[in-house]
Amino acid sequence: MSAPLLDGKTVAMTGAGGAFADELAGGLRDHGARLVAPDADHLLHGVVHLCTETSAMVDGPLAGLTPAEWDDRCEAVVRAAIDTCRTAHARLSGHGGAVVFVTPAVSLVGAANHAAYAAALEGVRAMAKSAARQWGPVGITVNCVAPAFALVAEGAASPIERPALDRGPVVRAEVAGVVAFLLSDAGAGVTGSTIAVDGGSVMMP
Amino acid sequence: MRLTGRTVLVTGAGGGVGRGVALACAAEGAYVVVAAPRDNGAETVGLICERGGVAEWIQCDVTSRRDVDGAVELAVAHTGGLDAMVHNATSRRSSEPAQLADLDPTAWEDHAAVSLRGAFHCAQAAFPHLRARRGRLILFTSPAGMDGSAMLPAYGIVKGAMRGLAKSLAREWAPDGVTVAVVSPLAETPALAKAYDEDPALRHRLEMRVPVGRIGDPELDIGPVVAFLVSDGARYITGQTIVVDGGRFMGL
Repeated sequence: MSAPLLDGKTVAMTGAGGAFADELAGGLRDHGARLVAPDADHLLHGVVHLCTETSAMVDGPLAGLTPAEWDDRCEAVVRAAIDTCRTAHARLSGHGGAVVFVTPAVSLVGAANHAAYAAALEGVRAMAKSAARQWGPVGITVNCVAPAFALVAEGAASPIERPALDRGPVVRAEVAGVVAFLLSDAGAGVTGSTIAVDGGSVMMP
Repeated sequence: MRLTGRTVLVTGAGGGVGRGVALACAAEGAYVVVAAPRDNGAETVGLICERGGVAEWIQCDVTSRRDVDGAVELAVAHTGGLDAMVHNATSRRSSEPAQLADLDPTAWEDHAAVSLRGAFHCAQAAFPHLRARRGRLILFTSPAGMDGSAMLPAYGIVKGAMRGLAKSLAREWAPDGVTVAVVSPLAETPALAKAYDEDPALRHRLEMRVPVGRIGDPELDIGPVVAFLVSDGARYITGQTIVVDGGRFMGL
């Protein structure tokens, strides 16, 4: 039997916590990853940053947002991702590695009542592409994985299309599987991409 | 003229693409409110008036909600309504190269304040008036926001964000009859002129990457597209990214 995809890899998770993060962490462990704190004194191979802050996913019309709510749903999400860039580059640039930003698919085609959050997520996706371009020469790949919004926002129906698979993906098996691939040696040629793991709801041009 | 009787507010209209948009909308008969923090806004108004158009300058820093409210109130007080909010302003540090691993927090704050918070201010302040006139919100993006940029990652973040905002507000505001579009221009601007000064070969390199073979003119190549988006003919377009760059970016 072949070795697990992430055999011998240490991975740190940054950004939001919660049930989705726990499931994802479990899935990465299933693939053989050792999860460590981002500031731990280990050789690090991968960083997974979750843009799934609960405070950012609250819905409401943009016209009614206070400046503090705008910050929570938009700018704070971006600042957290920028912080991870700093950490990830510092921890990975000596030997290379992989960074994955988890950016719910809601931003790919926009959603009413989530405009500030969708703006943040599209900003983070652009940031990941710039990071991919800047860090390619030091062997760091940077990608985004876009899970179905309903997986991260309790009770959120997809505002968009019915998924082709007619079901949402399973976080531990199917979202973690794509993240694990991007963190693995087999994924080393993929950078600057966004992979939607939403059962085929959003299909980008 | 397609915009007679319409009021269009353009942020960052003291120069570059914003000035081109202001000139083109005025040429179609719109009353243009030139929102600009500096008195180059008055020069834009002068150019419009010379050509027989109607415009006024209001000093407006989009990072200030009070300033944006003031510009919108002036537009409504002087003309009775607002048909289009065009948020074009970006940070003066937009073309400053940066490394994501070491992004200067004050540079990021500048980008966020002008582009992100500025868009928030413009959208919120304009919405009740746009709803009353089935109007438009126009934002601006860039290849840096769609394809990333090794040189300008902070600019890329805010320009990517404009697309997320536009697509979402297009959905959110459609029931109110307000449409939203985001334009990705390529044009000769003061920022680009400055970049040519620092790197004289840049113009040629850029032109080589544009299938049409030249860098656009803000007034003649970009402005008319925005004027069209503001007009009735564009009322069925919403949530879209309109790339106006001579074919430079075809990744969508």
